[in-house]
Amino acid sequence: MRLVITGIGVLSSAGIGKEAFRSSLFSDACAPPSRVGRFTREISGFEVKGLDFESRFEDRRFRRASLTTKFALVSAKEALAGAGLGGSPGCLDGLSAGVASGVTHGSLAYSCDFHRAIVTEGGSSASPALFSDSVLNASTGSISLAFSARGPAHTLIGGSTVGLQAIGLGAGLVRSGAVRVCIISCAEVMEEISSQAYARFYGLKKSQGQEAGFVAGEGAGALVIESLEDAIARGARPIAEIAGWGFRTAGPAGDGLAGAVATALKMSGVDRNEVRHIISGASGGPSDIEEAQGLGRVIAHAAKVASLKGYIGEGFGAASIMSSIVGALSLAMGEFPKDSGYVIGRPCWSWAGDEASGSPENCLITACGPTKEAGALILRKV
Amino acid sequence: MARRVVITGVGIVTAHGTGYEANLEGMRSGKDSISLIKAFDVSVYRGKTGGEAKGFSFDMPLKTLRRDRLDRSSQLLLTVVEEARRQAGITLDGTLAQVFLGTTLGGMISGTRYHADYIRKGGGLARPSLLTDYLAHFQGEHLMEEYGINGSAMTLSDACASGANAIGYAFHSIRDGLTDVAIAGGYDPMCEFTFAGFNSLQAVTPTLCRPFDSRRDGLVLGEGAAVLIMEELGSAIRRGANILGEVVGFGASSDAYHSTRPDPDARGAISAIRAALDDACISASDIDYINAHGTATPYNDLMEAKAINSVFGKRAVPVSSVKPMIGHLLGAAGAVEAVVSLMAINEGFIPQNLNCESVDPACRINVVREPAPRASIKRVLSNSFGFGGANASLVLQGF
Repeated sequence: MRLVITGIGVLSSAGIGKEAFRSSLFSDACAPPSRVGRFTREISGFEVKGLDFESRFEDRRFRRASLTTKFALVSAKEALAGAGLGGSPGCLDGLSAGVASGVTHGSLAYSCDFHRAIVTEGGSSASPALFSDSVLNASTGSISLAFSARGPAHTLIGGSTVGLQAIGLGAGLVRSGAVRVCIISCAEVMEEISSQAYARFYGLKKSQGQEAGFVAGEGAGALVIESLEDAIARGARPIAEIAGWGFRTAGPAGDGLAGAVATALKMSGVDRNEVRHIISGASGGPSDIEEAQGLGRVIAHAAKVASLKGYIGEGFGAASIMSSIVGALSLAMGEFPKDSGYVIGRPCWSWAGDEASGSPENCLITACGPTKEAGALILRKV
Repeated sequence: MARRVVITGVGIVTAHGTGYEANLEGMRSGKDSISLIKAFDVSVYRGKTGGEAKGFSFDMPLKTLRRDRLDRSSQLLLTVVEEARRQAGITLDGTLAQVFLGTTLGGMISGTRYHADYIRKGGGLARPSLLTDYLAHFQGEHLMEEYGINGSAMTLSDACASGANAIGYAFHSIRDGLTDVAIAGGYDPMCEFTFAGFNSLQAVTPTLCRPFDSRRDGLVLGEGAAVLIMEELGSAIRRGANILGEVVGFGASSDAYHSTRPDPDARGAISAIRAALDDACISASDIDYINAHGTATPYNDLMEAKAINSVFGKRAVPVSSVKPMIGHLLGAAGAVEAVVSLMAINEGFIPQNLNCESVDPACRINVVREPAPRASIKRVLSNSFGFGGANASLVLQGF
C-alpha cells in the first residue's frame, strides 16, 4: 500500500496557514526571533503572533482550551480542509479515522497554573478545567472530539524526533487497515518555565547576542495521511508519498541516526545514492554533531541540506513535523528551501556536497534529540 | 501465517509489593492494599486513600545512570524491567529491541518539586537536578541507556489506556516483523498533581473503591509499574526461553464524546473490544474471563458494563476489577492488569472484585465478588479506558 499526505495544516512564527508559511519560508522572508512578549523575562524566540482562535475555530467547546490544544485544533482543521474532508465539527463522523500526536511538554501553562494553585492555595482549590487540559493527551482527545475521529487516537511523547514517530505510527495505522485516514498533529507552545530551564541547562540562547546555542520556537503542524488508492478514489490531491521511516536510540559518532536512516531507506526502497535533498533537525544545539556524523555515515555524496530552525526556531515536539511539511511542500513545488544559516549567521556544521541541483524527487527528514533519540523519514514525489 | 508473539518475562510493582510472587499472593488472596496516603498531605482532599507501593525500595545496581537524579517513575520502571529481564533470561545489552512504554505524566514527582521551587523561589533558583527525569519520555531513554539497548523507545501517553496501548503496539510490531523482541509496559508514581486533579474532578472516592457496586462513588489512585518481555515465538524457542503466555489480540478506539467523561452508549469501548477479538481471530465465546477497567466511577462502570453486555450478550463471563486491591495505576494500569491476566491464566484463579456487595442492577454483568481460587482460564480480555476517550483492549492466552 502506498501512503500519501493529502492535507497540510501549519501554524508558526513564519505564518498561520500553509500558504503564509510556504510563502515566507520559500522566499526567505521569515522574521527573526524577538523577545517573547508574554514572558516576564528577556528571552528571545520565534513566537506565533496574531492567532485569533475564535475566528478560525467556530466550535465553542474549545474556547477555554490551552494554547497548545488551540494550536493543534487550528492546524488539524486546515489539514482536513486541504484534504477535502471538510474541517468542520464532526466532519470525520462515519469515516474510519484516527489521530497520532507528538508532544514534548504538553500544556505547560495549564500545568504551571495547576501547580501554582496546589502550592499557593492548597490542592483542593485547583481547577478541574486546568487539570483536564494539562494531561499530555489533551490535544489528541480534543482533535478526536472536535472532528469525531473514532479510530485509535494516540499521543507520543518525545523530543524533537517525536513528530516523525507520530507520522510513523499514523502511517502504520493506515497501512494495517486500522483506519482509512489518520490525522498527525504536533503542537508546542513556548513557556517561560521551560525556556528558563533550557537557557540554564540545555543551550537555549536567551538573546541574539549569545554566540552558541539554539533558539526556541512554537507552533503546530498537521498532516492527513491515507492510502494513495483511497485518495484517488475520493478525488483528493496527493501532496507527497510517505515512503519509509526509522528510529533508533543514538549512540556514539551518530550511529543512532545512521541506523534510523538505513531503516527508513530500506523500507522506502530508495537507494542512498538517490537522496539529494535533506531537511535536518539541526538547531545549533548539542545534537547537531551527532546528526552530521550520522548523515555522513549514510549519505556520502553531494546533497542539499537545510534546517528550518533559523527560520522558525526549535519547536521540540512540533519540530520534525514542520520539517516534514516543508519536505512535502518541496516535493510538490519542485523547490527546496535555503538553509537559513542559523540566526547567529554561521552554520554549526557544514556539508561537503551542498551544491546538488535539480528539483527534488525524494526528501530525507532527520532529527536527533538531546536524550539520544534519532529518527528519519523518507518522502517521495507523487 | 502471522508471527506469534509470546511473553517470556514479566516484572511488576504495585501496592501489593515488589515482584511477581508478592503480587500473585495479593491477587489470589484478594488482599486490600489501599491505605491512607503518606507521600503528601491529603488532609485537604475529598479522598485520602490510595495504593502506594509502600515497601518499594530502589536498590538495584546501576551501570550508567545517577541514582540521585532518578524520579520514582524511573525507579519503578527500572525495577520491573530488571525482574522481567531476569525471568526471561535475556541479555539486553546490545540487543536489537523496541521499547514501548505507557505513562500519563512521566516523572511528575520531580516536576511538581521543580514547579514548587519555581513558584516559591523563582526560575533562577529552582533545582536543575529535578529536570533530569521530569519529562515523560526521559524514563524510556534512561532505560535504553542503562541497559545499552540497541533499538528505539516509544512513549505513549494515552491516559489510562497508555499501558495497554504500549503492549498492543509491541504485539503488532513483533507480529508484523518490525522487531523480534520488545519490552512493553507502563508506569506511574503516586504524585500530588494527579491526586489533586482527580479530586478536582470529584472522581476520587471518600469511602471505598467499589467497581460495579450500586453504591460506588469514585476511584482510588495507585502507583506502580509492570512490563512484559515479548518475543516472536520462533526466536523465544530457539533460545530456550520459558514461555509464560501469548498476546493474541489488540484493539484501540476513541469515544470522540467528551474530554473526561466516557460515552454513555459505550460505542468506543465496544469498538475496541470487538477490534481486539477480531485481531485475535476469535469470538466472544472464546473469552473465559474479563479483567475490567472497573474504576468504580459511576460513569465508567456503567459504560463498561454496557460494552460487555453488547459484545458478550447473555453469556455470563466472569468479570472483575483489581483496582479495589491496588488502586488505579493510570498509565501503568493496562500493563499491571495484563500481568494479572497472565497470572489468572497460569495460576488458575480469578481475582476477586473487592468491595462489591450488591452489583448495580444497571450493570447486569457477572462480577466475581467472592474469591475464585480455582478456575480454568485459557483466554482473558483486559480492558483499559481513559481520559480523552482513549480505549484499548488486549487478549492474552495461555501457551
